[in-house]
Amino acid sequence: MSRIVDLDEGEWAPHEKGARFFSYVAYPDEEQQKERERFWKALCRFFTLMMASMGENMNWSIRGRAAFLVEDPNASNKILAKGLAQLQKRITTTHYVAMPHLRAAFTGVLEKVDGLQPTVGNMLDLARWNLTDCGWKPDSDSNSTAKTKLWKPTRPVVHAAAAFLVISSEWLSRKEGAGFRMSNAVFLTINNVPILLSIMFLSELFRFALPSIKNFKITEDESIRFLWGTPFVDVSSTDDASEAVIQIFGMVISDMLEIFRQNKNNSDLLFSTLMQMFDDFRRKQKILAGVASNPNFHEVFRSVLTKHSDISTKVDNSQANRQQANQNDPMAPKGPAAQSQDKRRNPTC
Amino acid sequence: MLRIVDLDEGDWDAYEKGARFFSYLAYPGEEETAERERFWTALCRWAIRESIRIDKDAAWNVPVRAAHFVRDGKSDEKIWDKGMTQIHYRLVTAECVALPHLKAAWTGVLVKLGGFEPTIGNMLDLARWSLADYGWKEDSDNSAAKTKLWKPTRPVVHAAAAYTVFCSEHLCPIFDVVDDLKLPIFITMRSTLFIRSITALSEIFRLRVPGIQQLRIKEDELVQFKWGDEPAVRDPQRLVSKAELARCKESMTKLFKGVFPRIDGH
Repeated sequence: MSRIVDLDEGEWAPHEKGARFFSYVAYPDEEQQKERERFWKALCRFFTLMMASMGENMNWSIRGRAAFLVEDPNASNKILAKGLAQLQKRITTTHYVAMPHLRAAFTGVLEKVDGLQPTVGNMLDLARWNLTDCGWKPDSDSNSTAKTKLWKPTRPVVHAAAAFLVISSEWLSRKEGAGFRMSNAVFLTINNVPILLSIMFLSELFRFALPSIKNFKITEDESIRFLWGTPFVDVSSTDDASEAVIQIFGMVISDMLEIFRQNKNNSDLLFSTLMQMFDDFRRKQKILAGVASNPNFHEVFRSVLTKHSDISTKVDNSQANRQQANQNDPMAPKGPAAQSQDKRRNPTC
Repeated sequence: MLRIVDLDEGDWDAYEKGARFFSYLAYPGEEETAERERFWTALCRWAIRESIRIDKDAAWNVPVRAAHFVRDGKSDEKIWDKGMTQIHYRLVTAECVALPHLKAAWTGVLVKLGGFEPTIGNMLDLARWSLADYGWKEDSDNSAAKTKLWKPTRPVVHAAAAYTVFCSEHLCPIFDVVDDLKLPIFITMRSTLFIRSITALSEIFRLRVPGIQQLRIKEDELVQFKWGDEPAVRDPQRLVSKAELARCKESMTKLFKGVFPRIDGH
């Protein structure tokens, strides 16, 4: 059984919950609890001070927990830098090793990356070359070192890192009007509840898709399951169910990114729209879960799509909307299905 | 022109209001705004650090103002040290030079201190000797003491005297404090009642100071400390009700006794 991390547990401020997520992505191992706690504190401290120092004459209304603020500034900054470098390693490794396969899970097409077959070995080579800014020595470290130091620690959180990568590169880079920068993305995301919720949601969807990826096997009990209070995904993971549910997931993600685009300046509206969408998703999941247990799944699934017109309409509408949006707006958001067409993004430090 | 400092002004926590009082005590000069602000922040930061050492849960449960920590660094320890030394100078100078005269204003009797007539010169000699252990050079002449001790103390002499009296009458006996500057300051900063009491006593002294001929301080030279619209109290016996003070003492004693006998510096 996978380890469960409920980010909504306890009386914490949004940025403290967000920091908890990033601390797990940076240090996912059970034995890394100390490093994780330290990084979490450093993230919370840095974010609070960043908010307080905004404006010409400081923002005196910003308050934070003394437990973070009284930390030694030099030590805390070192922990922060080290943690962000770890985070960069997880994100870059995920970008190269896992993203091509996660895209393929939605599109059915496994594409080459920079002319290379997306095997773990090839992709780790690419990841190593792109991590030189984080102190990685591509010419001295062998691929087996990369497997041990990059891929192994990334495996338990690869779905979460992928979710962060998709949401931040699709939404935040558009919002900022600049390319994806990891540290910017972390501090823009850390206290944004709708964005965090969406990352949790997408992370669960990716986690659900992981068993269908043949090139690397990440077992259920190896991955960390991130929750925000109640779980988003509750469908039993039979192969048949995966295929169908993943199709629905693809649509939901597209819709989610569309909602971000439309409501980027209104957090309340964004939040309520997303919650509505998630509720809707849960309802559809129940239908799918029931259908998946039927041996004649495909036949029944087709009839469900016809019977529950809201699902089929949603499929048609979302596709039609996307096509319309893409025609009108060259920068219109693309769902994971369309992402395979995208030029590969290279996450930078 | 008389400068008025309202310690209750703004949406500040008790320790921040208390720190405002002590930062004026350390740096009362009009041209010392930058030093005062820096010291105020250093005091607030120190109070937060000490508070969570006493009450560990507070570190997680009581949110504090983050801006105090934005410019946290090595130089801030020096700012705190320097400011505390300045407070020490004000308190010792006020106790030696002004307090005998303020007491005489009520009792009618001007008592000698250490066998000396309480002239400014004699009392500055006494102050210099008292401060020898705290970085003051004993062999420096009296004119240096006049410039570096008496001159900066003059605008807040009433407030420094009020704090000295409050400490010796209320704080030191219950907390068993002897020769410690930090603990009484820390306790005072945490209690709105204590700061209000000191402010009220300071106002009583301020009205008397211009009348004391030996001190030669004009009314508009002084800084007036007030607590919101609280009416001025003319009778020192009626500063705070005895029951109110007893309650405050009890809660503070519970908090501090046995838990944290001495307050550390940075």
